[in-house]
Amino acid sequence: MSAAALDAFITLVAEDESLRTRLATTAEPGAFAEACAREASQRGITLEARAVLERLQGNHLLWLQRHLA
Amino acid sequence: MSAPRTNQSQPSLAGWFPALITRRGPAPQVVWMWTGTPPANDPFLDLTLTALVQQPLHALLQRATSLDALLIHAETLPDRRPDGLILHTSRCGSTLVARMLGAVPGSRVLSEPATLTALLEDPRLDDTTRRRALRALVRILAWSVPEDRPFCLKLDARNLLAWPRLAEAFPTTPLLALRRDPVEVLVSNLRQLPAWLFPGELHPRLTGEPPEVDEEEYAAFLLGRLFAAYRELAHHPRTLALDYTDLPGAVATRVVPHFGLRLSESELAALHGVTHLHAKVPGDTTRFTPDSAQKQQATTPAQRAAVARWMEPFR
Repeated sequence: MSAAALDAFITLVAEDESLRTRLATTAEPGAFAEACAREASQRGITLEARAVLERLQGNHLLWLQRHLA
Repeated sequence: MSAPRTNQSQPSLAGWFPALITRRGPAPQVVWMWTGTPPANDPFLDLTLTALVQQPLHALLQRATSLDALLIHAETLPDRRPDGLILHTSRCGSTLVARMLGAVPGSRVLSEPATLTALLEDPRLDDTTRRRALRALVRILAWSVPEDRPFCLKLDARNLLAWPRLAEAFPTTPLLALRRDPVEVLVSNLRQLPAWLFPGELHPRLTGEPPEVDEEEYAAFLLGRLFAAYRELAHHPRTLALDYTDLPGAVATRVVPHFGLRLSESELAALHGVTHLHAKVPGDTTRFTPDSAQKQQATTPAQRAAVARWMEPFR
């Protein structure tokens, strides 16, 4: 459920320049995840900051392993 | 931990850049990163994307799709083929060529897209799928480049081993093959080993069975495979073959016409305006210092023997 909510939020962020601009000002991952949860909540999406952090970690890991077969 | 999930329905991918193609699992997955605009003509695309991933916003804005989604998205874009493909034996001036061409206003010159390497080497793809995927990927890499602006791709050195696949996928695109004195190539690589020179990184189906030798000689063996591929590519009718010593002068006098680029005087001036800079350092302040003599002097007898054994035969 949280993965679906996160995907919905990601689509929303990609389509909303002002939201991207706001979120881009937060460089620290924990604070960024909290900001995402707040912005999602304002749009009626229930999103846990923890789910955002886990996705960030997963994407970082994927990037680090990008050359591995 | 969760990686981006695959969206089974075709999402809008406008503004998304194909950042990587996974090499594990039953089928390739394309991981797209939201960039909004195409990446700049930086010395290495991978470094540009790595810098983006460090930002939480771009680390989050990723999505994974099947290869089919790449094909479908490409169909929404103009059918742009590259003006030229730059292949090379590594450490031989290809980054300088890319940087010079990338200095032309409005040009797109992408260096070593890892997604191209993934498609070229993926054993899960049949020839037809690979060809279609390569064309689709390149069409997407040309995202928003005006028709009259240069669009070139500088490939990873290891891609030289797969040049027939590129030549087949882009049957009218001019090819540039670059090489350098093998001693200087080996010494440069040993000073700063690229990942693909580590034993086990390149599959033997690409290189042939490697000999059981030390790491230095293994590097010479792999580089020798590149020189062998260079020698074949140099005889292809669409290839302009150049040596490091031809640079930078040959870029304007031979590469530009070979790629069919029609550049104005001011554009040629822009192209020449970066020749004094260190091509691999982003920005515009680090000056390039010629280092061939220094590399020759620094070569050990064992390295010269490795060059003679594995690289010179294909020179």
